Amino acid sequence: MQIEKVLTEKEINEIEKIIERNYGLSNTLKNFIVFMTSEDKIWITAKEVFNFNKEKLRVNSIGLYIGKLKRNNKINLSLEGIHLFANKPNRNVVVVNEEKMKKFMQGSDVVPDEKINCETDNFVLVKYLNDFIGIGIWREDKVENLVPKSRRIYQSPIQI
Amino acid sequence: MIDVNRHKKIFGEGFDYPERKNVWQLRSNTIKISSNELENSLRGKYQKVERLNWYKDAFVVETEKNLSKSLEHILGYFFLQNLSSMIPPLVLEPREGEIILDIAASPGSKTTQMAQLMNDSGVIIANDITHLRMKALRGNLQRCGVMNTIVTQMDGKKFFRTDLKFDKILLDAPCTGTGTLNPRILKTTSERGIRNLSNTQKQLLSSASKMLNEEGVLVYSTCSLEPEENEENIDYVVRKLGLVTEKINLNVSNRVNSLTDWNNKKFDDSVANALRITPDGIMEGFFVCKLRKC
Repeated sequence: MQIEKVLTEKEINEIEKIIERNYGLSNTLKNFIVFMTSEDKIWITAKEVFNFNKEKLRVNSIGLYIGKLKRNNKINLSLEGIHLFANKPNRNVVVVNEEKMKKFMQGSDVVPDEKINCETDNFVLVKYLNDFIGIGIWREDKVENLVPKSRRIYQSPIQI
Repeated sequence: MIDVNRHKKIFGEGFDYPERKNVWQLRSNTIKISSNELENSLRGKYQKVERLNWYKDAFVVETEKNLSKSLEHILGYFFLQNLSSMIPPLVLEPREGEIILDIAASPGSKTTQMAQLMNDSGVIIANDITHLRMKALRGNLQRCGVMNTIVTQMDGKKFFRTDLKFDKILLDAPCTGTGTLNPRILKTTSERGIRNLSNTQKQLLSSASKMLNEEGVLVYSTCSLEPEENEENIDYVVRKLGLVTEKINLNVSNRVNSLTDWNNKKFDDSVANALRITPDGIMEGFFVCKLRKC
């Protein structure tokens, strides 16, 4: 893990605003150290973790990956990023039923049952019952699947 | 090949390999969900859900379904983990704000458990030796939403060269794994293999003991049934490294006394403070010892 930049309070504020603008989510990251690695990936950790003496350690990774900053002030949140922020989003949210949830978790695009203030070509949070299960891109009439391969279920159908 | 006769010497003549029960054992990930919420969710979906009395975050679920492919698992609401494997972090008792070293951390079951016991505060150094094992460790830490961890890829036997000191260290050592009673493992494990691993474990223990602060606690555990990997190593730590064992006050199922001798070798009396878990078809055979630097 190559840390490219530790964000300043002003930059953290900007990230919070981007998340707020895109999803209507508000939460503060100011209690954390927020840093970026390659490809504008955003990670967070506690100050004491980040400041721990790592001089003689061969570090592989630190903290939690919460998302990737994209052009035009958009942000692709990781599942954990969603869980960290997903109190009550009111923009760019789609709701799916059980059958579509299964398809989505297997990596397929889905047509949602409900959409809440979705902007075309922007990221949308996918919700099933009370859970946010992943993220996709809203393409006019369907959600393009962005569930990472490591979080998909390939073999037998998902068993809930 | 290891056979049941060797294990009868440990657990008594009446011991036999139990039939593996078709149940799932899991720990709620309280970083993401409360155990009560998870319990309600599980009870709504599966016929038989038992919550353990000795660890409120642990569950046994009976179902034909594959829980590793359940939505709750993918979302990181629980960790599939043998009940025995949940004991070492409970013995170490990591607390909020502490700095902990997990020397052989992958795949991260105990690391994530410690993180939740610490309310994701403090610092955990989660180390393992190979790049291959990093992927599983990092994946599980991410899935469970853990942010208090620094993942390192170093040889645990040489970790003491960092000159870092810790108040608490977990050494869940690489072992033969005979406590799992996996037929393949029992078939391929040899006396020589046990001896080689026992030596590696002693080196890891030596490294860990050097990194302990005064009054610091080291918890050593294996999922092996073999005394060479367990009591013999604790005897070594007590006699050669000067650590002292402490009683483990934990009312867990299947707990039996550790051995006092093996192959005509008498162990130090304090080795008796260690605990053994007898395999029973649900719980794997396990060995746990709490050591303190004085």
